[in-house]
Amino acid sequence: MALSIPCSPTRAVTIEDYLEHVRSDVDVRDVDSIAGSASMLRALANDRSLVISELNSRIENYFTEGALPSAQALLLGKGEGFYVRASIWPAIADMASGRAYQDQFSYNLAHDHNFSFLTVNYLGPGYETEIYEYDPDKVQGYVGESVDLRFLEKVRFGTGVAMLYRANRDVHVQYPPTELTITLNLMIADRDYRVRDQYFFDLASRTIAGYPHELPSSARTSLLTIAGHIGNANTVEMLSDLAAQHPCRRTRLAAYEALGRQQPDDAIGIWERAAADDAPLVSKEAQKRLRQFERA
Amino acid sequence: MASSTYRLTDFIHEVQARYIASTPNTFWSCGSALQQLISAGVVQDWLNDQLQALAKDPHHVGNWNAQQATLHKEAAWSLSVALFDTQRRFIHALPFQAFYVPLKYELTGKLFQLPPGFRNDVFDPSLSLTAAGDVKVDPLELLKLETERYAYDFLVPRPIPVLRFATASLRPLEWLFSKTSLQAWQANDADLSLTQLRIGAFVLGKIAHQSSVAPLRRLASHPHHAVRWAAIQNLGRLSRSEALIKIREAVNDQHPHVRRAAQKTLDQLDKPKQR
Repeated sequence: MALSIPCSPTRAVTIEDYLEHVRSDVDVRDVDSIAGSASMLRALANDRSLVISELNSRIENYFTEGALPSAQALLLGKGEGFYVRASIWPAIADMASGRAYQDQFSYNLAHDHNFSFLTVNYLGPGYETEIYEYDPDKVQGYVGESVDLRFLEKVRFGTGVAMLYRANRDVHVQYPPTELTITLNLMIADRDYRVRDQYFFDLASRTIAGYPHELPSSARTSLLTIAGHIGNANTVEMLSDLAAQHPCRRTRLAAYEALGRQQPDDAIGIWERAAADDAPLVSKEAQKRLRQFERA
Repeated sequence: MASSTYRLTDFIHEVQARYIASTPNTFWSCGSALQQLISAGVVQDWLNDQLQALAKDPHHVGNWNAQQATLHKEAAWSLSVALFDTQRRFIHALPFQAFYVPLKYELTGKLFQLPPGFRNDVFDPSLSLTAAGDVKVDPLELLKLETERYAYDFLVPRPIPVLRFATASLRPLEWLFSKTSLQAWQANDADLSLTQLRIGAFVLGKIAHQSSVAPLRRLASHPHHAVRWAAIQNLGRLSRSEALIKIREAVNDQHPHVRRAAQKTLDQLDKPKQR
């Protein structure tokens, strides 16, 4: 399917108009329906006071509320299963001079997203992005796994076009723009994205390089690891439930790990149960652990 | 699920009564409450509550991230469990006060004295730490982090779960020192909001809309010197006259880096007139 959607309406709509449009006309579970919203999102980008008034008021509010959640991702509005935000992308020269910080922005890292989103350029020349796709059904999800990444296109994402990124299918590498660039994004945030994974990819070796820290599954894994270390007798039952039933395979694997740590005497039985898990991410790790027990 | 009489809410109320943020040393009076919280098994009960919520609703999102799980957070302090699983590349001079409590294994490391004349808000790469011995805390014992005098470098031979009871940042910068030379390497904003404000000032300057003069003017009076200077620089893109007023004021700024930058800017502005 085409990821670049040409659109250049001349009319402008307000954020309220756009939110109402998504609420009433877009099925956020259907990528074709999301793509159909491109022209309206482009029309929202024609509201030239949208971002500046939001950022001005954020800074004014800082002095009363004492916190500025983010200056590079501005939430503009939201509805059931979606939100609209502006993203700010500093220029390559501003990175080099230290006026903006590389680690605040996901430049030069190939990654997918665990949610779909539609994006249009709002200000500046736009950034360059390389887009690949992969089949999530063929990925087990472990670090170092080979992934069949298919190159789709390299585009300069400027005005007159909207881009649609499909959850867990499109992979992109984003390069810093030559000048400050601002994009508007329609982000699809259904509940299921919390149990889906997201990956960093190593394009040279075409493998999974890691998981973003901010993923809900990374947070769950960390919580379960802590539970494995410091849990008490009551912890075991809940770890067993999570290992058996949680829909996220990384979470199930972390629950088995935590159980094994909590009940070292039952470790073989725990990993035998894990070996029967439907997800190879869990079952292969379990088989590896069982082989280690055999050798010991 | 609570298995004890002392609860997290008891701890919160006790800290709220004892710790007065404007008097940082009052934080240390909360040690006994923390000890009671640990003895009562509140951390384990809280953890089990989180797991139960997750088992009931697989989409449940608690106040956890990949680095730590937060039991409670308010403007002046926070209580969280972190897993120390990676040795840090630098020695960090922390901008907050804290009690660290290793929950399962001992916590060991090196202690370093901050340099004489150390001023947190003025980064000086010529300063260096002095080794001040070792630090060792047994499981469930409290380590008082005296960060106004010392920097700590903890060893991580295995993942170590640590209960962190910490104030909010009391100082504007977190300094990083080289582990080999012990010299100051860089300083980061203690609070992410400060970095965000600088990025915000930069973006307003780039867009250069007249409606941003007022927020930039406010930022030019921010307590953090780097925010003040970012605001003044970017105000210059919107209004030369406004920026000149602020630059002339900044020549007498309380922070030496701002004073120096303002004077340099004025000297550069004067140069064409001298030709």
